[in-house]
Amino acid sequence: MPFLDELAAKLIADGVGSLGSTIFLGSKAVIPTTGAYLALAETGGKFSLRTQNDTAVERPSAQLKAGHESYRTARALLMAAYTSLGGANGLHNVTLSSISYLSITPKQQITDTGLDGAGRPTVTFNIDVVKQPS
Amino acid sequence: MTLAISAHGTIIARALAATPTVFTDIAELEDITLPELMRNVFDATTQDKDIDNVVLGVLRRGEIGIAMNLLPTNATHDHLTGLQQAIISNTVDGYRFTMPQSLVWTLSGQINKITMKAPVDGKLSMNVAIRASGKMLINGIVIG
Repeated sequence: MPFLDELAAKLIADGVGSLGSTIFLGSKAVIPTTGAYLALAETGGKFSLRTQNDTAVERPSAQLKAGHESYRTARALLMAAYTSLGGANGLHNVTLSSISYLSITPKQQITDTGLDGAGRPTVTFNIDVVKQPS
Repeated sequence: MTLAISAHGTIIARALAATPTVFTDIAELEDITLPELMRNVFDATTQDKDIDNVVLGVLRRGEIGIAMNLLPTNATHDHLTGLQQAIISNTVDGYRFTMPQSLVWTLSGQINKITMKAPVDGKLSMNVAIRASGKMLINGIVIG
């Protein structure tokens, strides 16, 4: 299962939202022009850490961005995602969709990222991930 | 075009003293430092010489360094049958280093240091130092 799907499955399991309704994956996702949304995008991360025995771990990163006509609603949605992914402590040694994740850690605090194309306030945070390849 | 080759794929296997022909690959190896080969230098310069003369001593090997992801319950790492057991019991075991293009060093050695790290943000890791002792083989040729 692709990386974003693994993250989305965790968010959905924790009641943050539902795929295609409030949670959207990738930069080409068609996001409704009204209401709340949480968009996930892969942002490259770092090179994989390899071993001599070919048991590499991948180090992707992702951006989570929430938007809504109300800044407070957008922030609450993003905060739910932040909490689902471990909050300030991150998640360590967990399994998401049968894939071993060594760590999911936030790179920064929740950040105001201005208005989206529909004029809704957006908030964002980014995560660093160390995981088994999937 | 260079003839250099990547070091990726270098594998170390360990044979317990009790079963010296049974080698098991050590899991999740990272950087490996193979034993340095050296000889001590003894000055043999005499008064009647205008240039130095030296004699080199016995072939000696430096410390072997192995870094790896620490897998606490892995049989090749742990305190029951793995590298941690080797230093606890001070056993002399066989170690086989297989490098790309089939260069193989085989030697006996003991573990003289293990360092484990648990960073707040990072992987569990283990560094193992081995001292070789006695004859060794390089691609089947006896050295020493």
